[in-house]
Amino acid sequence: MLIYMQMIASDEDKSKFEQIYLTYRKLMFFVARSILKNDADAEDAVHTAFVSIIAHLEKISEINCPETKAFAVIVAECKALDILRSKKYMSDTEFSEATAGFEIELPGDGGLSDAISKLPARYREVILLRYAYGYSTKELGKMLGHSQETVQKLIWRAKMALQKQLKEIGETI
Amino acid sequence: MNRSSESYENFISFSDEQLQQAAYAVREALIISLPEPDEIEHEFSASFSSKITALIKREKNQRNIMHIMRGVAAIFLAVLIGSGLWLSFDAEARADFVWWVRSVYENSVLYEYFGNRKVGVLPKCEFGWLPDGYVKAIENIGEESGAVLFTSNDGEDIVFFYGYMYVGSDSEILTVSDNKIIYESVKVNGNSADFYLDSGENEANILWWIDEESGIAFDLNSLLGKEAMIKIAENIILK
Repeated sequence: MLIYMQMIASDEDKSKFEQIYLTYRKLMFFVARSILKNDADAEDAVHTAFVSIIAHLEKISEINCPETKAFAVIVAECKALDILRSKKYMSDTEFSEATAGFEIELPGDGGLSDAISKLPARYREVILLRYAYGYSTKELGKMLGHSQETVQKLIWRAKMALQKQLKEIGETI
Repeated sequence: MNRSSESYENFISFSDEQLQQAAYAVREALIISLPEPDEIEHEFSASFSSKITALIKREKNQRNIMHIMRGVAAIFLAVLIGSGLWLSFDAEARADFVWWVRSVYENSVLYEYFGNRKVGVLPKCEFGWLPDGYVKAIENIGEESGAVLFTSNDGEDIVFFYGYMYVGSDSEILTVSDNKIIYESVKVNGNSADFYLDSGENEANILWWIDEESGIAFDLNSLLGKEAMIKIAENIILK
């Protein structure tokens, strides 16, 4: 906890971060653990996620709300997949499951929402952070450790993957 | 069926507003899929804090290393120019020096660029050669980067990205494939290029290359083989 506090400037932010940490650390661990399959890596992912969250504290207005809950979990998922990506040895089965990310119940519209849910995790993350949370491509770049252009490319590819899914099911919006 | 080139918005059948509404619904579904915190049994380990410290230190060290590398590049360039050992006799080329660092991960490759950005608007790309049956479907050109999609009657796509290289920019070659990726160093019109062959049947291969004169990096993604992709690359004209 002390390490995080040194990174935060204002007292108001300290309090906010502490509340976010206490409220969501277990959920974030749960999601990271479901991807990484071991406690130590999951804790690493949670830590890295909190480093990202600290950098965007000003964007979090309310702590105990569904939006912040989902945000914390999405960032934890991003970081869990980053760790999985950097690991040298991995079985094919493990990575296939991880590529899909944390399993979400389908919204059930049979269209665009279901298609987003089924996207590979990397694409789903950027779509949710960009469109549900309104992060700019520049902000996403900093959060995910990419350039703005790479994020734009990710979003472009995600949209194409969605279009392909919709075409396969014969769905037009 | 032949299609004339369409705008990005026409090819993608949903608007950003519809995507936003759908994203909200997915976010709600994500929340519903989560357990209650009380249901999660985990005591964070005593080593958690020390791992946090190690991760933060490692990140700081990595940033310092990159700063040092950029500093070294700048010094190296200054030495070259100052010592008169600069190989090109074109005075403009001295200011256009770019270089890159390639980092390889499990399923992606990151190219980080250094050097000065070329002045001017990003040129459009004219494709002098494409395999039979491919037509341009989308073209989306910005100030710094651009993307073009070609589709075929067989439903196979060629996706092309390009953008200026300069310090602070980068390009990530991503795959979501879990197949083995085979790397090969190749040339495109005499310039450095990297080819990534996906060993699976239905996953795209990737060709990345640069054009030193224009200061632009390109990547091409398709199911085509190496020779065809290099041929496409070598027949691109910047306008």
